[in-house]
Amino acid sequence: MDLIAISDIYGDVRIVREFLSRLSTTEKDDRIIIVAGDIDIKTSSEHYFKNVSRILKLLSKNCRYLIYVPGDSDAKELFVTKRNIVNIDRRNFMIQVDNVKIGLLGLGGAPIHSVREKNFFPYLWNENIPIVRENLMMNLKINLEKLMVYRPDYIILVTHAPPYGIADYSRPITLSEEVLLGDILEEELETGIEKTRKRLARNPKRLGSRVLKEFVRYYKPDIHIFAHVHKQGGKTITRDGTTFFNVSHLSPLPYRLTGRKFLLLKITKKGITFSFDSVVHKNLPFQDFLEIYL
Amino acid sequence: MATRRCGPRENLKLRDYQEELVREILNKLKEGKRNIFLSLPQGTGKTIIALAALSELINENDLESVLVLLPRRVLVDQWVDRAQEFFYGLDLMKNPTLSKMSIEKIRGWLKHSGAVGIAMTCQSFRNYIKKGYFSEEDFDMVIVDEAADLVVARDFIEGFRMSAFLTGLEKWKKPKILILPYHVSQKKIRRMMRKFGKQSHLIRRYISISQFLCTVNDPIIVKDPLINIFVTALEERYKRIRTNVNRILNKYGIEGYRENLETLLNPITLERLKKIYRLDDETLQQIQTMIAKYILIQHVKKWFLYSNREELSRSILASQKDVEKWLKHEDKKLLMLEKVVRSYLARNCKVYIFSQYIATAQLIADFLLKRLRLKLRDVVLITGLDEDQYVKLDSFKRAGRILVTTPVFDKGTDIPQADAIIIYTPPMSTEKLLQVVGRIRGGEITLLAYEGYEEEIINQVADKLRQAFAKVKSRW
Repeated sequence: MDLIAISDIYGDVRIVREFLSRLSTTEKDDRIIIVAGDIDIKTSSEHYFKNVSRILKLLSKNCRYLIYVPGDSDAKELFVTKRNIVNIDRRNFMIQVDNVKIGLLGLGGAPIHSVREKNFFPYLWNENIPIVRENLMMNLKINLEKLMVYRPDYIILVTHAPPYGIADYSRPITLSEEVLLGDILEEELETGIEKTRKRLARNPKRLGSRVLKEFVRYYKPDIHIFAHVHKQGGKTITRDGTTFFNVSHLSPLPYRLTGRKFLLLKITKKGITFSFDSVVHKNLPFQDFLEIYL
Repeated sequence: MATRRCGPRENLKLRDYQEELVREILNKLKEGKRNIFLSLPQGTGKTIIALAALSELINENDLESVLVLLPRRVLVDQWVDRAQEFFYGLDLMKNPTLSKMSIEKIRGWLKHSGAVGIAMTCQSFRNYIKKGYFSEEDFDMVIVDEAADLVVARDFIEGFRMSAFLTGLEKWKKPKILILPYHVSQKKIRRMMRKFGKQSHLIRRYISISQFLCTVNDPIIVKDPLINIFVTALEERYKRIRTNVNRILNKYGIEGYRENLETLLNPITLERLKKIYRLDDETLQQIQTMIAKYILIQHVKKWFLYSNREELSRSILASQKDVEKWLKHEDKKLLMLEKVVRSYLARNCKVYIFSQYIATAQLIADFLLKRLRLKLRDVVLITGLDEDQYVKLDSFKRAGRILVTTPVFDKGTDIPQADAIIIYTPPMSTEKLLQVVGRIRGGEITLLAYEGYEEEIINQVADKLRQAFAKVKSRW
């Protein structure tokens, strides 16, 4: 079974089409695509839900299942209804392909400390509040327990935020970073950045979630796929039985150098192999490659 | 309270020139000079001279509290240790940041512990002064060691400016001794002195010490044609971006900034340009985008040259067919390094490997540990991420065989135990390069370079080093 993980599309339909053109059409029934959040940005736009739906449906036509969680720049509920599109935010989902059983559970959004202009990211949670932290943890535990009933071969945790301390070191995610994508209203920018500029933290720090760190530490999913921290995109770390993948980001922006990325996992009963790849023309001479993609 | 007495211990015998310099410092301070700039070559015992002068001043003037400012954490440890080892009654308290004590406790300690003062990093100084924990009134004297960066980069409008960490110190009226290595140009020192006012005096001597002369080996050239293709392409792109930025600057008649285009990313500078030259937002945005790209290209070039495969393999470039091929084979520069290190170890030499970047230093340490089948204690890796830099350095001095570091030891730290230094990634400037090689006491200097683009640069670097050592010899 092929499992492809992407994230941080930021409403860029063109990159989605480019990405899909690289996939073979014959193998689509064996393929699962996972989107680890930030499907679009600017939730206040009237076209937001339409665009999200368009992207997800486009992806879903090329796979058996499209699994997603919303990110911090997405609305909490995306209202996309199609048989093979599954939102696993605070839910679980069981898949069986070629006798391999995979249990998926997810958590969307991001911790509030990981972004700077808190008002402009619609899906954030504050894990410093004990009741929020306990709810998040309880939800993950219950979903894991439900999955374990089916005795899956592999458990995959899909979140938008990274766990604390793993591929999460960066400056807090900023609105101006998102502005590179050219999709934020100017007045929002002025109120969002200018008025609060003095109070905002700028130094790099760990942006991951402590709840996720704790959950992974004790309940040990086989794989943890996440995104959110763009500058750490493409990192793979194996620790205490869990392999962590930061899959950000498919969109060429905000950082051209780390953009256009996706993760390919080949899963069999015997084990899992993985590789990162990019949506680019590989055979271009180095100089032309620089010109086009950097 | 009994008068404090201090002085050199029996194990310290000041050399003649050191005694002479101590006397000169004391005389100039008596004459009313407030800021003494002391510029001496590496290894002449600048710290000992300053400590000897300090002990005399304490005995004569009953100084109660001295502030010692240092650019690196490891130097704080070194200063405090030197003071204890060579002088009695000259205890200094270490950087409060490291002691993790509250400021009330630190103030209490300073008063009652018998310490003559406090040694801290320039970064801590800035924070403490900003928070109002300390002020000029708390100290009778200030010593700034490795003060070469007291004033930083030339700026078109401001000229030399005070380092952000020590801003305000120039206005303090308390006596100060500012210690600099000899290779800092006299012009730069004069500019510094101007910042500190008329009550400044410069003591600059050339004292040659033969044991410091190193042999600069011919650079070792590594053959890897792919690297040359990548680096040349990146260099061309970099030049083109610079030309485009310069074209815009010329169009608007903007002078300066050319040497250091990165300054144009500073919002204050941009605001200034907007006002003076009436640049529109679109042009400013264009300049910023180009400079950001130009910085990125520079980084990528260094990743290729300095084996930063981790970053490269995460980047979009890893998908380009040639880069993909290059990433699949082992790094030829690292393999060459292994060969060189192996030959040094066979001769029972201790090796110091310098890398400008943390990622490269980590890679080198891991690679050598694995390839040379060494024990963990044999390879000591020290970067800015380590809190225990001084202890780690001590472990290298006593038991280690290979020391891999980033610029944490480029200033002031003594590593006389190392017999050879390998510069894996050269520092940005000649001044910094001389500081790096000045850590060892004699021995061999080896540079590695890829054939082609890097070869030319490294040959120039080697020539500069040879010229610097030849200059020393000619003065004997």
